[in-house]
Amino acid sequence: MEILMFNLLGGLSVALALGAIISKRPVNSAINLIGTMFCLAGLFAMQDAHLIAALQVLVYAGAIMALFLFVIMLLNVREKVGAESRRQPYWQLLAVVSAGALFVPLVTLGGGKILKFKEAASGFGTTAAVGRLLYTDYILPFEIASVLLLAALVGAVILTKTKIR
Amino acid sequence: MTPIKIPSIALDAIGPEMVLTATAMVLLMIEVFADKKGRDHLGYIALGGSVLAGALAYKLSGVSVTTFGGLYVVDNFSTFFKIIFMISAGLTALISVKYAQDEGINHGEYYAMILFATVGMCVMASARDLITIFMGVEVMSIALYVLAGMTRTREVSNEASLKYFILGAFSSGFLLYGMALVYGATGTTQLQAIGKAAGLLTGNPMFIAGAVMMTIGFAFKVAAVPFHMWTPDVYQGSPAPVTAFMSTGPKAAAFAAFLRVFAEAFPAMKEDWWVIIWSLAVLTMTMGNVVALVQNDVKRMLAYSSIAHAGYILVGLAVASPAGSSGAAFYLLVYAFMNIGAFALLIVAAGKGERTTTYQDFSGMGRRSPLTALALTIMVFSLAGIPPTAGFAGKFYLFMSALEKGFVWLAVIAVINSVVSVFYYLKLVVYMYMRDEDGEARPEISVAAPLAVAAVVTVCAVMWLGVMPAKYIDFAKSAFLPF
Amino acid sequence: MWGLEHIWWVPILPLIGATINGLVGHLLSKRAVGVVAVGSTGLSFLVALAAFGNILGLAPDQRVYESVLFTWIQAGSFTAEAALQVDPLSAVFLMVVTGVGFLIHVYSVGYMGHEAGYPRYFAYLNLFMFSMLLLILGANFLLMFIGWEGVGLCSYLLIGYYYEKQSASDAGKKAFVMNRIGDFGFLLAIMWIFWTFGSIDYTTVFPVAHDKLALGGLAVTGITLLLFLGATGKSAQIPLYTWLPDAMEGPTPVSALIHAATMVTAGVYMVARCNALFNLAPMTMMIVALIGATTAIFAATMGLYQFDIKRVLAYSTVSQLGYMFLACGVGAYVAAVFHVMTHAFFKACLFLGSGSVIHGMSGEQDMRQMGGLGKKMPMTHATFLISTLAIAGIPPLAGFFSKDEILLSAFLGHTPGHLLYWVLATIAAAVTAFYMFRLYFMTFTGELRAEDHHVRDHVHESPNVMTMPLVILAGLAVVGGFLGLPMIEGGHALKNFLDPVFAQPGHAAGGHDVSVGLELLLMGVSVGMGVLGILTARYYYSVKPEAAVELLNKGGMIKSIYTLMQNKYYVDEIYDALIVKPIVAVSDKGLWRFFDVKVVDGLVNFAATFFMGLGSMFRTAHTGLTRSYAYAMVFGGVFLAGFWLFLSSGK
Repeated sequence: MEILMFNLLGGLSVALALGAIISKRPVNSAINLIGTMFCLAGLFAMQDAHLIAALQVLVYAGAIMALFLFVIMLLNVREKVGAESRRQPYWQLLAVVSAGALFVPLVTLGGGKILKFKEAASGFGTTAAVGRLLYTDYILPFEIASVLLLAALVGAVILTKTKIR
Repeated sequence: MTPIKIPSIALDAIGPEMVLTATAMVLLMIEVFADKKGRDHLGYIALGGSVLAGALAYKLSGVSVTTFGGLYVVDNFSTFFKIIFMISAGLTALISVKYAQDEGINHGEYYAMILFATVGMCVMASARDLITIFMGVEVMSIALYVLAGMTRTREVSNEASLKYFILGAFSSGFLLYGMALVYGATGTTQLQAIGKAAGLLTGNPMFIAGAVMMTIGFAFKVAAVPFHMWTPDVYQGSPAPVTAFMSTGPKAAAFAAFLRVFAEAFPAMKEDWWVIIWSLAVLTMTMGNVVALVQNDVKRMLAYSSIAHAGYILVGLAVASPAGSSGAAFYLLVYAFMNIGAFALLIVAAGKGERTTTYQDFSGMGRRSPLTALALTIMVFSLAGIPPTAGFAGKFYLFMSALEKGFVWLAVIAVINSVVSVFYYLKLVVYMYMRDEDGEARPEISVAAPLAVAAVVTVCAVMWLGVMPAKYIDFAKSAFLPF
Repeated sequence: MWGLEHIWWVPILPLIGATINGLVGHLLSKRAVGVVAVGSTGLSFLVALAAFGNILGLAPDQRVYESVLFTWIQAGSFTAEAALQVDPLSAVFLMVVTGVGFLIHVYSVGYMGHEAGYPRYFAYLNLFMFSMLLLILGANFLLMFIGWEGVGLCSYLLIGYYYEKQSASDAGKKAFVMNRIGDFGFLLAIMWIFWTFGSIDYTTVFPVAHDKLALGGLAVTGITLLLFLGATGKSAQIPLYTWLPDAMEGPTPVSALIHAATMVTAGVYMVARCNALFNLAPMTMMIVALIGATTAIFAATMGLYQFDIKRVLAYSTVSQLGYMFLACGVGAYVAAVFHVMTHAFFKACLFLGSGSVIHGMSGEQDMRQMGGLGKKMPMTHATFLISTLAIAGIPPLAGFFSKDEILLSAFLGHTPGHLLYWVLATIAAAVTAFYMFRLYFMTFTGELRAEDHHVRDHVHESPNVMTMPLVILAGLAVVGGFLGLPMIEGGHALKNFLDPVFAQPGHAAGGHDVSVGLELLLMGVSVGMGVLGILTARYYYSVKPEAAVELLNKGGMIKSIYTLMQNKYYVDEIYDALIVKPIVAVSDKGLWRFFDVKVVDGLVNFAATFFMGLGSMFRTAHTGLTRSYAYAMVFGGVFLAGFWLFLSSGK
């Protein structure tokens, strides 16, 4: 059952991600991407990482992709985008070559080798566990995040505000 | 319900970071209440904050504390780099005062962003944990994206900001993905724990992929070829003081994190990655120098020269020895002084709106403004590594560390590169002293007081570090990492 | 009492002078600027003199004094101290540099009196003195290198002093580029030395060189060849010599000080200083001797065609430097240093004399416009004649002693081909005598050929401040050679003084275990060649100027030289060219010009073009498109990952 679910969700997310790349219409791409996010959230949920699954849906599928769609619609972007890059065939050639360069040693090195990992402790990735970690061991990065947000907020305002005194 | 256990927290260890954050927030508040005239003092407040933070950092020299449950460490390595950051931030604030007034960006936000970036840099130098490092990188980068686009009326500045943002986010993706893979392979984010686990993982593709991704992320931040493409456009488009800042402090921070991650998390793979870093170093310095040769614009030339300098510093990383890491640290200190000094004088010469930054615009400067020309000459000689300036001492120490470890070819290539680099630096001197003005109207060169102070400070530092570097090299030597 | 412990004042004093003149010189009166510059150099000379006296007072085997000022760079096992070392070799150079330097500073006060940028000039000149003294006194290779770079920089700044002239700034650039090539070799050699010895201190490296390095091994040959590459750049030897004639664009006192008496001999100093290494590398020695001898004859023949008074002297300098390297190459370091010293005296005097002539001729440098100046400028004339005789090797003037010793050493040398070197050097001696007297006759005898009446009426003797240095230098050119007495039986004063430095000469360095008869014969040959050159010059340029036209039919040695240079065109129209053709037109067709422009400059330009082309190629990768930058990152990353994985899979 678990394997089946994993293959289903995993396969779907790969297919949707491909769709996001291949699709010529920006809106379709965005919708495909949202689908991918949902599939990923499902995968997280399968791992008992309910918080991350929720965040995935809320933040990515909900907030960020919605913003994407707004931008696409507001700017009225049409499918012409990307036509330019197709005029540069050497990019594609380079892509193939470099993919090969990555693939060959990967196969010789990792081929047939099964990676073993320690099993995560029970309760890992639950809301309670993440919250506990955030406020104890990771208190410092958590606090730095506040500086990050402040900087980002102020920055966004100063760059976009129409008139500055 | 298990009781919540708060790890030990040593607040005095993050004194510099706290001071910087507080100063930044004070600046933001002053912006709200101060009138136009009162804002002229903003830069000095930022300078004061940097100096205070620098003093606090210096007080921590010799101290070795690990706090926040092992996520954060204060050792001589981090202290040395924090001092570099403070010098970079303080001098940038100083050279910004006049510039910000002229360009209409004299706002609390501008200086606050410099300080926020510096906070991020400090975190990068001190963090001993992947997540914390990433937070530091992001705080620094976000602030820099904003700074690059600060002169909103100039199109190049907007372009620089956007490009930097998109590519920076892209590289952050690499960095984060790499961290995730490393975490997946080792089950921990703490550098030393990774280092312990890594011994058993050599040849594990997942771990290697993680390490590669992280390398790409850092290589982007230090502008190593082929991840340097953003550098010339961003450096040229950003306001000149910001460029001076970006090329010194943040670059040093990226190197600090780069060095620490490799020294503490990946020492087991040294056999492999020195080859990678070696190639990056050679590519970077050669590309930077060679392309700098054909530039017509001094600001862009300095951008490529900064790429070349990143290549020299990568030598210290490729060597992967205590001497290499302290050599890189010392060079970054020297570079902070000489590059900010060069940019300070570029600001002087460029005039309002940065209209005149081509070589041609420097012709006859030796006559128009002898002292400015002299100071700039000293700076470019130092950049070129001509004794007895600090640039020479720094290069020498760095390349020697390569020789000591048997990296003869790397040292030779580095020396060839620094010989090539002399040509484009010299070109500037030639224009200043051996070309007459071409009769085109150029702004009168007037050196505002803060710029003059910055120039004098950097010139003195460059000469002093060149003639009497022993004490500072000793300090840098105590700031090594155990490779 | 001032002694060796105050030696650091010697370089510091000019540095102080440079600082004062450089920073506040424009606020001072001309007089004050002159006092600061001349005073600091003069004091430096006095301190050096005291140090020299102290050195003489020591027992010969204890004549090494090292004074450590502070530790400059310490990094790992590497230590470089800011330390000065005085030993007989540096003491000789010290006296020459400070002494001649002082005289030239005095001269400059008069010569540069009318120039704008007077403080700038003296600041550079004092800075040069500082660098040069650091080069000589430094106790390790790194300090020598700093001085080395410093003198190059000052030379470059001073060549480009009249930067309004395009040719001057071009010449400055050329000097800088060529010197950089040499410096690069030097720097690599220093690294290699550190690599081999774990130190760069003279006192650590040289004593153990014999044990650590195999005779003629790769390491020592590589090190010495790189060192010599550095020397060819600084001392203007083939193939890096072309900057020196161009360097004559600088003010004349600069040519005298930097491009004749001191800086250009730095290469000789370096080779002599590293004699312990060079002695272990026979192949390098052979190359040094070969390059030296070739440069000596090559540059001398080039001197034949020049009409610019300073360029003649410049080629002559290149040629004389060739002699010095020839001496080094055959292991006769004492002779090389001896020649450095005597050459400094007479060549400085010649340059300053030519400066005096140019001064009197209102800036004219073309010898075709001169003539008959002897009557109007008696002091200049007399001193110039003495120095010309000295360079021609006429006894008992200084040049005779040192040049003779070099020729003798070459004749007796153990280096393969030493007889060939001797032949080349002897012919070069005759050519030198010829072109120097050609210069002399064209300038000081006959009728004044200047067409401009203002110039004609204006010809005058220079003021005392300029002629006094000339007189002193001419005096030294007369007596300087007596240090080489007694000539026969070996072991003269200078040799005894310098011998501790060259303790283990690999070859029979100056060990004149040869019959007196042979020595006298060789002496006779070299003097005879000199006299022959003089007489020929006198015949063609003084007694019977029109004889040059008949040269073609007449034959003789001069003709063979001209034929050798394949320059029929030139000989046909020699007088025509004397009057009408500008030097460029003539020189374009000469072989030397071909070599200059096509071969040497071609190489330099090739390097520049190559890098520029590479740069342009890479630059096009910067399209400005964010998208393509991202692509580049991805591809770079993929290759990086592939590379890394490949490395790991290899295990």
